Amino acid sequence: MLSQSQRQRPSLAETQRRLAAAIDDPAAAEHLAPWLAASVPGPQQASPSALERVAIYRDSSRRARERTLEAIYPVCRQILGPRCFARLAADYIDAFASRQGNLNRYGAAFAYHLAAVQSHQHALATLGYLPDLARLEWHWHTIYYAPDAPPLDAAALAQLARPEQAARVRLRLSTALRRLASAYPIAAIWRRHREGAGIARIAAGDGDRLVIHRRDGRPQVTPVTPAVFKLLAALARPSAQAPTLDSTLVTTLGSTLGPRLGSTLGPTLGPTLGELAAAGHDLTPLPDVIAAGWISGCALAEPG
Amino acid sequence: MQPPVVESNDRGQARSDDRPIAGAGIGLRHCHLEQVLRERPSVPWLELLADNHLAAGGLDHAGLEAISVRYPLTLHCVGMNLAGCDPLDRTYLHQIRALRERTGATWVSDHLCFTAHNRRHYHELLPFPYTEEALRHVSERVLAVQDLLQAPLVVENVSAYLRFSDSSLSEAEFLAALTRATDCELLLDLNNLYVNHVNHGDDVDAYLAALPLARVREVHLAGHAVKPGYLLDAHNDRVSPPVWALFRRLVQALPELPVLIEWDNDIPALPVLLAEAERARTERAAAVAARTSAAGVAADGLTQTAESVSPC
Repeated sequence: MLSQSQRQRPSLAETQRRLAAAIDDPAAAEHLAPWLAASVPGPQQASPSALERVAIYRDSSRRARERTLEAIYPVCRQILGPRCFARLAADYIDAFASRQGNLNRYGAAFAYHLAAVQSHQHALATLGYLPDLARLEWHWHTIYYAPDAPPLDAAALAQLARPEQAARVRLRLSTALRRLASAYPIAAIWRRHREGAGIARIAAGDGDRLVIHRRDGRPQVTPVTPAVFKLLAALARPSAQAPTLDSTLVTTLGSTLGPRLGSTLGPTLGPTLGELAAAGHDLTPLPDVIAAGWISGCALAEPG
Repeated sequence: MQPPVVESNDRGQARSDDRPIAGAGIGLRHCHLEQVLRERPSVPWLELLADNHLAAGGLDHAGLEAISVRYPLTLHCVGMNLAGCDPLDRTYLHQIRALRERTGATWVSDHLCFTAHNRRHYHELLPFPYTEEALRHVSERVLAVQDLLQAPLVVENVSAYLRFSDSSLSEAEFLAALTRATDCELLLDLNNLYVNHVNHGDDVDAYLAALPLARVREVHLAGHAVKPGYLLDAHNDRVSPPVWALFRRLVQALPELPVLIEWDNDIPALPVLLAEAERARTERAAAVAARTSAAGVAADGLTQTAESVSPC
């Protein structure tokens, strides 16, 4: 048996690797133990052993991530109960390392984790809506911190393009907007729990199509029609086709789009309105979409 | 209720970077942001947990502009991974630099620890052996951070629950050498010092004697939790009597040093935090008065400086 002085002292990186491994897995702590200083007798009696001291860091590190999940998913926790949620959070922490120093980014895959657990745990299978509810809570969380995206002003837009140029207009969805479709009425479930409204039977209906967006700094959840949802999805896709002029489009947008269009868009451009019309999208709701503040920029494509 | 944004009578006022950091401030936490904006409590400066304010937009983002107009600010970070062996996260550092420019924060601080390894973040201030190898490594990283920030970094001593047998330097010796190698400055957390005194038997007198006190830019005070056999740096309570005693001692040597109350868990109502800051102000004033009085007596050859015994 080699004494510690006879062993080669590990490098700084190796020491850190061993401590990190011991935090991830209690069984790995034995590889760190030989390099830890013995506890110094101090005013406190029965001070923790070296391995117990590693556990202090492990518990604190895990608790920071658990608290983050609790803060992001309060309704999921309310539905599951604190103990069940804590167990699921612990499993998630085991499975998903934190890849950024910013804890606000931790927990993005919790909905997938819930869905995976549901697939083999009957007790959770009855809560089919739970993963979508988690997705709603994640979007609500991220939208709070999303970059500012001043809404495109309809009056200003009217100054940007002549009506006959409307088909060449490209619109950009706000960066403070997310879309979520679910087969379950998750908005009603989410609201009732947030408001502490108690248990009620909620009709499944046709499910939800939701826009989660930020207005005056506050996240909001707005149900939309399938046509609007489809239009928003189309606006979010990069353009693939050449612009196609459509006279009906000009009529539709006549009251919104005016004589000139500028270029207030960044590099990520959606399709032109002409492309959307050619693809069969109903552009009738577009003025309402703009008025809701869900569009944050526009540009005029080069003539085809 | 919407939080106030920058009001018209704020515009054109000097921003925080034009006013000094002095007196007893508090760490501003998210739950108090709107109240501080609304009520404008009388506190000489605020410290932001920078990592909580990296969002590119939103209410907090807008609120910080108003805060920076009304209060002198400093930034306190937990994500630089100064002792870590992963490459420095330049994206994070650029975010910190941008936040400093946006808020006019007077200085930026982080901790003597590592927080991530192999791209796994532990959200804990993890210890490492204080060796010559580590000193070279941390010095290189502090220099790189200072180059990116174009400002001295303020480095804080941390609470530790374990120590490494191959450390050849004490923490104070390590920090002293770090200031010599990098010209960085120091944030002396007296609660961390006391926690390490209890947990490891660190000699407080030796620690303060080894630390280059002239490089200390700021003092942190916080509460800790008493656990079976050790103290946990929980930041969840009022400052404890032994830590106040340490503060009084430090004030004897550094009477003008800015001091900050930290409270991160079980965060109380804002008035409780402000009361702790007020206590720091009165403790400092009393200690300074005692020093003056004692110095007067000492001049007569009757006694020495006040509170020369260890508080611990």
